[in-house]
Amino acid sequence: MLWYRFCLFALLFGLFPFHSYADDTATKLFERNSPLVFQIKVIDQASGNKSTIGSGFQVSPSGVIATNYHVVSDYILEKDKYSIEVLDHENNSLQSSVINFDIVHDLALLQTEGMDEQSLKLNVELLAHGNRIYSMGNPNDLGMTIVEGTYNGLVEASRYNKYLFSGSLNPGMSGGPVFNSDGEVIGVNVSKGGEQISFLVPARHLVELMSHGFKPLSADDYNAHAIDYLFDDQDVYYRSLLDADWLTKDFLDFELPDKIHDSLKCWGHSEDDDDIRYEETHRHCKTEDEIYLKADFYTGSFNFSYASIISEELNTVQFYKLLETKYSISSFSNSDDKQETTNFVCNTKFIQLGGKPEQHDTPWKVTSCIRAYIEYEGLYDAGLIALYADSSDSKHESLMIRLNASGISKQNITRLHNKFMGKVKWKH
Amino acid sequence: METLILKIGDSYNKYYLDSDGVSGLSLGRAFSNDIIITDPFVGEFQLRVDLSPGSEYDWHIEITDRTNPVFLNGKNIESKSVDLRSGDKLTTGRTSIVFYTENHAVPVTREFSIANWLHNHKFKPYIAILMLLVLFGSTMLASYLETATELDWGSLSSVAWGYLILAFIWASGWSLAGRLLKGDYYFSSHLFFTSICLILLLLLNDFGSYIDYMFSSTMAGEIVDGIVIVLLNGLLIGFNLSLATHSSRTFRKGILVSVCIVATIASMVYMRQEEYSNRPSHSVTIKPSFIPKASSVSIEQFISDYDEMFEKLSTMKKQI
Repeated sequence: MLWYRFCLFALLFGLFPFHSYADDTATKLFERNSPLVFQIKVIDQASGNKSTIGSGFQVSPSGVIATNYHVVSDYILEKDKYSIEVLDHENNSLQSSVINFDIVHDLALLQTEGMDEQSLKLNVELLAHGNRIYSMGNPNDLGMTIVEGTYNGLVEASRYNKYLFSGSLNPGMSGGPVFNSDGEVIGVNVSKGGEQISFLVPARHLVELMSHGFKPLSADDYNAHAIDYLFDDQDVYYRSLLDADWLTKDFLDFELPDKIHDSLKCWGHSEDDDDIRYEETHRHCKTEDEIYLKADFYTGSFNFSYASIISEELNTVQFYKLLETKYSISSFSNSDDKQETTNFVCNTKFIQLGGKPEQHDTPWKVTSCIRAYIEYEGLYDAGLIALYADSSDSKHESLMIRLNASGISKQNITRLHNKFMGKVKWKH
Repeated sequence: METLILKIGDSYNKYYLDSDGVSGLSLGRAFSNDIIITDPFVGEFQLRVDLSPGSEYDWHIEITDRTNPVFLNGKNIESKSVDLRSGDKLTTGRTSIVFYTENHAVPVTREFSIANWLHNHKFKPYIAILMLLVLFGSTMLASYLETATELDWGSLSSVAWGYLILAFIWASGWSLAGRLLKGDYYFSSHLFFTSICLILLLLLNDFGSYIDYMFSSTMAGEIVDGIVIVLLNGLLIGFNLSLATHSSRTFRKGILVSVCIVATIASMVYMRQEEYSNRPSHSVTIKPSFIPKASSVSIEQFISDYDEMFEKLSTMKKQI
């Protein structure tokens, strides 16, 4: 009995210090770092009210604050219409301007007047899965808060490196720092993927941006600077994609490119409901992250899909009518604004794909549609659709291939389409 | 006594003139005239017609009112009088008068190709109903060929009933027009020809998309569709006009009306078209594969067309 009491006391006393330790870390981090974490407001000069809110933190004693590009993008895109206001922990308002930004990784550096000569320390080392980390920011303009969560490494199958933070980020926390338990910044709050699923920009991208120095960019160079980042990013991505040996997988009578890059996630499903007289099988691979350019304009997605429709019940006319309803390049939802992109220009031809075996000399109907970005010179959205249909046997078969890429250069569109169509092979 | 035939509006009237060249006919709004015109823009005593003996002309006209100009075959008559030949046309106010002599040649009698049908009352109603049934069947077949899901005969037949009701209303409208314009009507004939035109429309419905498919061009398909609709519409209106009116060259008139309708609809569609869309528009027709075999290209040839596409895009950007 004495032993039991001893265990109970040990358990109680053992647990209390653990709780107080966890609470302590967040409390201490908040107390220690609050003076270096700021609320950022982009002010619409015409109305005098805030148009965007976010968070930021001091990364250099010379008064440099890091935040997200999307927090201050209004200011970068229309400097004459907006100004940036930084609020410190005592609610003092400080004027600020943009020094540099990385549009691809959603980062920006601001020069702010009247700051203390301090800064937060950055840590680019990867943590162990499950480590407790602490995010600070100004959610929904409710005031500075700290959120505790778990570090879960780099997001798998992602085009843009991001840490997975199992904690809750909310609008307004964007640009805020995320600390390890030692109070070092390991990442920057950037977006939310769902309940307790949030994403952070790794600190190494911030270090890389800071390595260019703190000499402010001229506002006239903002556009060219953004284009440089976007152009280089897509070039690196598509080079690695196009130079790689592509895995192929059997689909219907074909060998088709499969998960051709680590950044892609592939899914599949099939439909054979009783009320339809055909079987439809789908497979698609896509990147799941995009680059923020403006509130209604994103870029950087890449996806392709295969759909096969097979039917023994439909007659020839019905089968081809069905294909007509399905044959369309999927719409690009990254922008629906004529200020941002031109209309699509399309070209349709019949092509012999995958060699020409005697029994299968049916050409594919292929349509390619491209539209140009208006402000981001040299970048395009490109869609391709190719359809093969055969009714020579007792059943009707068809295969539809779709390939969409946004924010891609002319050279890479050409190479991508060429290689993709070249990889479509009849199964031997 | 010489005979003068006047065509005023749609009606012809025969008048007699004394050959002495003195006691001619007067024409105007006043009831004391020999020929009374009701047009308020015609003078009270507008003109006087006399024979013109011994001259190369048939009649001599004296213009007695100058309130509104008088035109001879479209040319303004400046002088007080003018000489006319048979077939000349005088116009004043809102009235046109054509002058004919008795021996003026009339056009050769035209063969009425559907006369036999038109007056064959015995079988006509049955054949019209039969054609209506064929229309119903064709519509059902067309709907059936567009259905890839489980067949729902109720919804398939609803389209066919729609066509049937449309044909009925159309034929009734023309019958009414015939009754009003000609005092006679041919409902069964209207129904028969309307059904034939709608069946042809169903048959040729896909013709444009085959052209689109063959040339990979939506524009070629749309143009062919436009031509098919103009021709069929022209045929439909032409047939109905020839039955409901005395009008000649009805097919030509039908085509003209049809061109106007199609042009109006096409320009309205063009004007209402969204100038910007994030959904690409391209040829979507897919047909059994025997057509394009000859015209297929290699991947390299297809990709080489991209330069032209990029040029188009840069032109579009410059225009913005």
